[in-house]
Amino acid sequence: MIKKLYEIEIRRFYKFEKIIIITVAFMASIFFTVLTFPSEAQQEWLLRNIKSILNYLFVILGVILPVFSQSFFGGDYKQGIFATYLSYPLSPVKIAVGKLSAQFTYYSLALFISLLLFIFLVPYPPEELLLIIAGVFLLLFLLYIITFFSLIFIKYQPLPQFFTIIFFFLIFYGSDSMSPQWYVVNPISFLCDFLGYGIHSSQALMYGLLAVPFYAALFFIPYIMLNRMEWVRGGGI
Amino acid sequence: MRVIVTRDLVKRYGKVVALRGVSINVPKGITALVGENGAGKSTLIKVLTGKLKADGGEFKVLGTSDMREIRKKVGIVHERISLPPEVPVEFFLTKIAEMYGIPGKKVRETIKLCGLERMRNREIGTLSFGYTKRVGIAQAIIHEPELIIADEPFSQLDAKSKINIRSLFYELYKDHGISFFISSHNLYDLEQISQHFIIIHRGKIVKEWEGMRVESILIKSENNEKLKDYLKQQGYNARIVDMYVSVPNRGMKDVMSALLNFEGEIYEVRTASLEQIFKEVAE
Repeated sequence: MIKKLYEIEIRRFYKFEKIIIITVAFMASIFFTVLTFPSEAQQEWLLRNIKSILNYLFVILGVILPVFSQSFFGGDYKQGIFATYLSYPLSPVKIAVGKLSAQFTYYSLALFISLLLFIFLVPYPPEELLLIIAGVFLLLFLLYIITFFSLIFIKYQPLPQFFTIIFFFLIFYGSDSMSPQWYVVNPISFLCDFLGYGIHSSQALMYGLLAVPFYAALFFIPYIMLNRMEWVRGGGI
Repeated sequence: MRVIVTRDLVKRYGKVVALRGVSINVPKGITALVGENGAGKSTLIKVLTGKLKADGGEFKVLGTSDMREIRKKVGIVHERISLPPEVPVEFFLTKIAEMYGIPGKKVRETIKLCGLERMRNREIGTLSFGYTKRVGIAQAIIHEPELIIADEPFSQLDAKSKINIRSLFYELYKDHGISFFISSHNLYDLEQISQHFIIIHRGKIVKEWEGMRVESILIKSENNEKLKDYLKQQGYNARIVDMYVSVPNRGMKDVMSALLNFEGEIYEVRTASLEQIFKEVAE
């Protein structure tokens, strides 16, 4: 059942959308590589570049894409396509899995192409590189899921979605100034430092592990505030 | 066998009670559900199809109240046909059929039956409203359901599309034995194909009957007042409705024989239309 729904959903991407996804991801891959590797003087600089690039990826793929795909879902819900799917022997969970799987197919493709050149050129040992890539994939998918489902509660209002993106940007670009415990809000930085410097402090490790749920909890603060504002809920601007 | 049975169904939206103890017995065949806006038609359909949960009462569709079973056995035509617009017609129907384990041959038959042959490779979003409705009907019948529940299937359709869809429903009933439970404001269309009628008013069933031909006889005469008094003297429960004298619950033959001795001109004798019955009940 899920497979059939997945096949319908995957067909919903137009050809030009697929071409755009692949082209943009490939250009991003070149951009990241060019940005990262000219300053190869020191390991520290390289690591800083990698961290910045991953933060870009984190924001663009982890936040903006789920906002778009969630809007797409929201559109389906409003149009009644969900209701149509529910008239088949499909549970709401199966429908969500089928639809998200289709989105993830292109999401993974974009992610993989974005990291393609990076993977080939980064001077890390293969096992470490594999760990980085796996970590990035895991975190990005986690972020995607958190963003996606959190946004459902905002009831598809454009203004809260805009504020959400701003919030994420603040988190990622403000996190480095929150020294010394910025791991708390930026799991990707923790991942890079952990792999690059080999941080073995149990406190840092704990912060790193707590980062994702903490970060999800932080997200709900602007959500609750925005949701309480009638003029936002009513779409009054 | 009854295809839908409900007992004292209650549904509330906050303080508003949309269904106030709805009890119906829907037989096999084509059943029309009629009511004003806000009468509770769509709510009743949403409860029967599992889109809403009833606050009270019980129901069975095709002998079961298990929603999974109901979805397997029933086809649903929503008021607003909402299908993924980017997907071609045949591809979409094939995937839906595969969900039910139905072979590709059946998909081609359904496409033909619904008059979608020329549109099979078109994306759903590029179709006209009438053809989109047809795709909506095709996806509801593709798994050979025993019952189709349709909410406003004739709404926003042009005259030709209405006739086509009406004929399609009747054909599906006559040739394929599919029962229909149709909610609509298009009384004329319902009247053409239905055998069983239900009128819902402010969340309550106010009238339910089978076969409208014996429901009410309408007579137009040169003096309706005189005719009404005459029929009352003869023991008929006659009353004036618009330009007619209405005689409910009597057969045509019975009323005709009573009219033979009426001293006055009779212009027209006919069965009441669904619209007239609905109007009488609503008033």
